[in-house]
Amino acid sequence: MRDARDQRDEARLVEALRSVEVEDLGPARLELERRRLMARLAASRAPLSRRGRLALSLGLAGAAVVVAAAALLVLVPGIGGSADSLVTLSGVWRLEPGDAISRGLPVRVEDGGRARLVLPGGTSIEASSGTRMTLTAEDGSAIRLDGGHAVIAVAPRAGSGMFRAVTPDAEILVHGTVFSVTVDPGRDTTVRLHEGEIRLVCGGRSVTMQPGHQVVAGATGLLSLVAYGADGHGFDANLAPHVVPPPPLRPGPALAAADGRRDGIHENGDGDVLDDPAEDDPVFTNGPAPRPPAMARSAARGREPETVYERVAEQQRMQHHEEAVALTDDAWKRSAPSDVDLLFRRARSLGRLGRWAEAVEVYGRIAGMDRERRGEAFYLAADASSRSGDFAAAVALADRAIAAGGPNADHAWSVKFGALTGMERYGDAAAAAAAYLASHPAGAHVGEAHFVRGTGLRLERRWGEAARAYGSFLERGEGAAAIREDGRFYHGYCLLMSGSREQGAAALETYLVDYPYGRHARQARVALGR
Amino acid sequence: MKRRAENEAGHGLNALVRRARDGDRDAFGELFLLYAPDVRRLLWSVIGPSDEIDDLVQEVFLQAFRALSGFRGESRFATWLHQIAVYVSYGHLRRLRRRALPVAQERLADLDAPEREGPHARFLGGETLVRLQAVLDSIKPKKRVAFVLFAVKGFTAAEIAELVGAPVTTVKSRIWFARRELRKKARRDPCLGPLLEESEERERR
Repeated sequence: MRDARDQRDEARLVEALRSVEVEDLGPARLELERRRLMARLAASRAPLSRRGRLALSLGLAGAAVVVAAAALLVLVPGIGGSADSLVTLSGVWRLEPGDAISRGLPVRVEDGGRARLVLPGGTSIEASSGTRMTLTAEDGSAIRLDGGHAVIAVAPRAGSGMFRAVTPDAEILVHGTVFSVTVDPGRDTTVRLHEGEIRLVCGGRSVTMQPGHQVVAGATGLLSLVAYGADGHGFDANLAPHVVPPPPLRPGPALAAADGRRDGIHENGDGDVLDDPAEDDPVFTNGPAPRPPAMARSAARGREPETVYERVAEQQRMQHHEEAVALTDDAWKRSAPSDVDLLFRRARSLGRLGRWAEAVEVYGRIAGMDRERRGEAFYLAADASSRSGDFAAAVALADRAIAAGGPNADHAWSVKFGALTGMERYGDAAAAAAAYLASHPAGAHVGEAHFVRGTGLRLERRWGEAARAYGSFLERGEGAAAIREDGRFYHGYCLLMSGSREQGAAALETYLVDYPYGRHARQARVALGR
Repeated sequence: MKRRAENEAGHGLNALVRRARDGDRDAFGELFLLYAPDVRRLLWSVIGPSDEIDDLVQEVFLQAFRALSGFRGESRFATWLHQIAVYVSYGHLRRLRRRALPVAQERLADLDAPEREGPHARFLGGETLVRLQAVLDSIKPKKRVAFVLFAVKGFTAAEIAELVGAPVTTVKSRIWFARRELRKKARRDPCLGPLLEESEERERR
């Protein structure tokens, strides 16, 4: 009785987990992600060949013998002769300059003292009185800061290696940059960025900071993002003497004019809540060339900034789709050919907001504006229609995408199969799948087509052909877990029904071994006569 | 996907991997196009909805690029990538647990909970999924990953053992303990518990 209840409960929970659907990357976004990867790889070293790795290993082994005695994890050179101010958290022993600090050992700067740590890789931390921290990665790439105040100058790391500072409220991800962190235990974490760019993650959200930004993060999430140092106040000149204070903040009229709307230019002080969609974008300007964060970032990457496009992309990256749609309002009204990229982004955000009908309208407009991208627009419109439940429109639009040809035509077939199935026109779906298999033997959706065809044949009780179709589907090893499970069961079931009793029973037995609580487990047991 | 099929058909994949192993970044970019969607789906299932998912995919491929010289072709390239993805997931889940923040609600804020009809509609509602994700977040990463790969992704214990680099018996025990923990915590949960009881009541009737 108890086992039965366990099984039922688990089946419910698993069913709920399976219902969480992944949002697949479309071809355009996949390409963008590839470019992002390529940019990150360009900054990293090429992988060594096997021979190179062997040579490097031998070299390192030799070097390790020589320097083993000097293999310190952290050096403590001290500042102004106050090295003895750095003590272990337990207060059991003091550290001398040059002492090693092991990973995981908490350290505290003595009250009234100050200390400078140099981590492997060159990152330096200047910590003030009472600061408590722990090195959490042996290569010096991560620390945990539990309290106090520290200015951290992160040495650029090769490749994607990021420096990571974790506080009770937030996680800070950094390439080469200078920033300060103040942790007030039990209350909040204040991060100020002096140079470079950092990403701060808090409460499941992230924000990218530019020089001059100050973010306060609490246990409940990001509390505020304000500009600091409008008059040089609040800048840690003592702790970071090598950093030039940012110039005073001033409104950015050029930006506001460029976008045709008022952008939020926040002054010093409190109250600029980052995650309130009613607020304007948290844009700050430093010095004579005001730029929004995304522009500054794109400039840093060496690309020409595309003001509105970059900002829309930034909003989408932060999942702020309402804002992204608002930013594309002008493009929607103008509908100039140059706005096609923006309109694609508008449609994507509308989709993410569940406003599918509006998304379809945008794609329709794009199809009329840009012949070259018509196929992509029809395909995405078909997909949006299908998601909105308008399967008839989805089929019609998918047909137009297929007729337009190009790389999206292949995917449009998949939308067509799904829409026909959604209308329970299984026979038509199977016919479409057969047509696809004949015309696209190496297509991207061959596995799916076999499955759809199998379903159509099964419902017509053509068991042998259906079993072969499901078999072809399974051979390809494609499809989501739920579909694979269906395929496994129906393959066995159709074999059984076609008269191949031994093969069918074996397939269903295997199904039950792998899916003891599967959706078809009961049917499989009944079919096996249990 | 189309490129994948073509490459596999023409034994192009091995050549692509060889070129990438020799430092050809364009070849590695091709591999990214072929496998990123799979890796993304795997990560999504294992860690749940997260706005860091694309960053994690990047992390998987960056680690793969660095480790490519060690890939000897003893397993399928996809399996090898999945192994890296599992280890990246471990790191991510451990960070989430360390932060001990109320992340589940945030992470699921933009989750499009599918609308369902039928007797289980309530059980598949958005709030339930949020709570369920929170329960999963409380299970230790190794157990959680083994369970999700088995129950949600449909991998066999042997396949999971290959991915996580552990004996099959270890994987089975991880799944067993994860199941038990999931059931126990779900029954104690103020939202999930009553729904489970309600489902049982309905089934008795």
